[in-house]
Amino acid sequence: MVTETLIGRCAKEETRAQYELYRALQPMMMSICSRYERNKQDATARMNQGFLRILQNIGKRRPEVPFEPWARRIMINTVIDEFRKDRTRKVNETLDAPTERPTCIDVNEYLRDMETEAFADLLLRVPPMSRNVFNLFAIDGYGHAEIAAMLGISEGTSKWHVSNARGILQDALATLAIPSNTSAIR
Amino acid sequence: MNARNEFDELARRKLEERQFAFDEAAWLDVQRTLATERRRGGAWRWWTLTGAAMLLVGSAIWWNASDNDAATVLPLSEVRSLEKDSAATATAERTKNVATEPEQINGPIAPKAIEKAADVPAASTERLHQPPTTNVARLAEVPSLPSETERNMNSNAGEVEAQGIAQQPVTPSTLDGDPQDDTMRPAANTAQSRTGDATEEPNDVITVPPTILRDTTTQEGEIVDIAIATALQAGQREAQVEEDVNTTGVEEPVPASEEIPVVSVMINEETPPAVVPSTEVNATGTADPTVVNDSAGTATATPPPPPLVDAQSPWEISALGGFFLSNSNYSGGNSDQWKGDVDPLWAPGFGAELMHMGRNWGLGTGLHFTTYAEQLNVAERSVTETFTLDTSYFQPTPMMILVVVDVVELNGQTYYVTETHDTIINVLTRSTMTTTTDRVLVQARDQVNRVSYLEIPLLLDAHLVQGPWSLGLRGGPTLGLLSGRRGAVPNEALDGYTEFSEQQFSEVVFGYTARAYIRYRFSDAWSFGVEPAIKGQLGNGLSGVDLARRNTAFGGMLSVSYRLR
Repeated sequence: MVTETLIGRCAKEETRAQYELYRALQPMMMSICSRYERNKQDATARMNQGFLRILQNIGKRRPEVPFEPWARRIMINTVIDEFRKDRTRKVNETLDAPTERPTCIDVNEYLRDMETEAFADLLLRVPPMSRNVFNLFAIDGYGHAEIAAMLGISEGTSKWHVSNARGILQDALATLAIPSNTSAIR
Repeated sequence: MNARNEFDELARRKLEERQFAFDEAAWLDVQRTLATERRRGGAWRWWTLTGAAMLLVGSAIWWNASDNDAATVLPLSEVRSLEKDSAATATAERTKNVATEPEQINGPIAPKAIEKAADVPAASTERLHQPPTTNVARLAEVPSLPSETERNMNSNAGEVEAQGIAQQPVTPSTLDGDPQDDTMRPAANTAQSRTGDATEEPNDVITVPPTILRDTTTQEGEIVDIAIATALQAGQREAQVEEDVNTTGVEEPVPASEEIPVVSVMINEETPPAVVPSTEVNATGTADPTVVNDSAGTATATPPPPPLVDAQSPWEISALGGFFLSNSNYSGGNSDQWKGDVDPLWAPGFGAELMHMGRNWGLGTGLHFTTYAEQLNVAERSVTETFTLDTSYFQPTPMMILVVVDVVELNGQTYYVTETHDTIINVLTRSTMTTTTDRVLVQARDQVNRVSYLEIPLLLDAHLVQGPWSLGLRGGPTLGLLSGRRGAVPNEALDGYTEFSEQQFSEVVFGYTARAYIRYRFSDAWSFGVEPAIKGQLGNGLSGVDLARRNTAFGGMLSVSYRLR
């Protein structure tokens, strides 16, 4: 539990308080970073980077701003900033027309019963740019205009990436769901 | 909610269900980074302060040096000579009222006298235009000066000339001379001119007693003789003075009681300043504004400033004391795991120094006692180990089964006769057994570590003096001799602590010290100062282990200094 007292102690650079804050925020931070990064090492490095940013700016936060959303936003910005630094990723992606697949209710049903880690692994199959845009839009709740500004792309491109990621995920889920359904029929 | 949005929502929920175990190693990385940034931040602040102080003192020294180029500050002997001039002139003023008749020197100057006056050296005529100024004000106008020895000699020569003239026998008849005689002033000027030639310094002041001047007006032919005699005497005295200067190096001040009351006729307040155009003075190019023999303003002349550094007292001893915030930087020996738990701590520092101080530079040595202290606050470090074991076993499950016991055919229909039986079936079940173990790696410890050194510095000093204030920088390399230690650090295996008493230390460590100071001289010899300082070690304080320890310390000291006489 992050209290204002704890935040105040962190602002005074108390090591013990920083440790407690790190423990409290670690699940949230790691949850974000592991969605955007390919492996655990990168996710941990990004999480630490974001936590340092939080500590550096903790004294500047206005008390009326809820702490956790504020910290969450810093963490997402950290991840996106790092992503933007790596320009080579953008070059490798082409904007082909997203594969349109008919929405299958069974896919959603399958997803509902699916193991969490299995879906997280599935998400890593999505190309980085599309994955990040999907994360920002579907998971973190950003609008296309915000995403476009954050990543330096157009809103249309942002929409394309969301659609592309969604298509890839649904396709993968459908592939996984078919044997299961088949065996059920049998 | 349409299907697509439902998919997004399901994905969001699914991803938020993920659980992440706390990673202690990740926190250690953060802690290490925080410690590094803290050290960087501290060092940046101190280096900025030190840089600003150095810039300030450097600018002040530069400003002082450039100011000296523009207006050379007279040395002590010159100031003394000026003091004597002022005193002599003041005495002459007093004498003038008693021994001379005012009209003799206040009378108008005849055209002939003006013509002759134009021939005299420029210094004599220039003085007609000099406004009454103080000696200090005139000093700033000096474009260039001869060497100090020359100035001393010439100054003495001028005085001796005056004395020589005053010692000439004066007959009662000389007192009957006509004070309005036109030849009086030119004669004096001529004598002055020749005397100046004899001393090879045409600018020198020749102060002639009024009685002599009156004598020269009655017997013009004697003027040359008196002048030559004066010059010869001056020459002899000059040689004597030169000998004195060479043997003692310092001019002996002439007691005020021995000075001859003199009045320079060229320094007459009522002499019209338009007699000689100023362009003439400039054209000669020999004007020497350092001559400050005018009587006007000398009664209220401000005393000359004290010398910046007296050449007779270059040695200075200082006692210092203060506090330093010391910071120990550990490296190697798995110190990355705990060096973030070491915090800076204030510790006292003392010292004594002996310096040979010049005008702007100094060199010396001293003895400093420095304690580098740190607060070690290591939290208990433990590791949580989780073992998981997947097992499969048969789980007995009571069930009721339907058993066909008979088959009956009636009217072409087949009937099965069944019975229910309660039974237990072993169902294959999988489970995961989790075992969690907490293991303490390092016990918590909160203590103060102190390591003391006797440091012998080689000190260089750059300073400037402005009145009673001194600003300066002082620093240099140090040789630190280990004098005491107390404390402990986590050992390399991270399963305990190594006491400093059991740890091998380097007996000698090279380091550095630097400080800026501002001092106030509250008496001729004593001064008090405030001195922000930085010191540190260049070498490893430990030996025989992979662990390395280097100390830096920032702080301030108060100093009391005494200038030896």
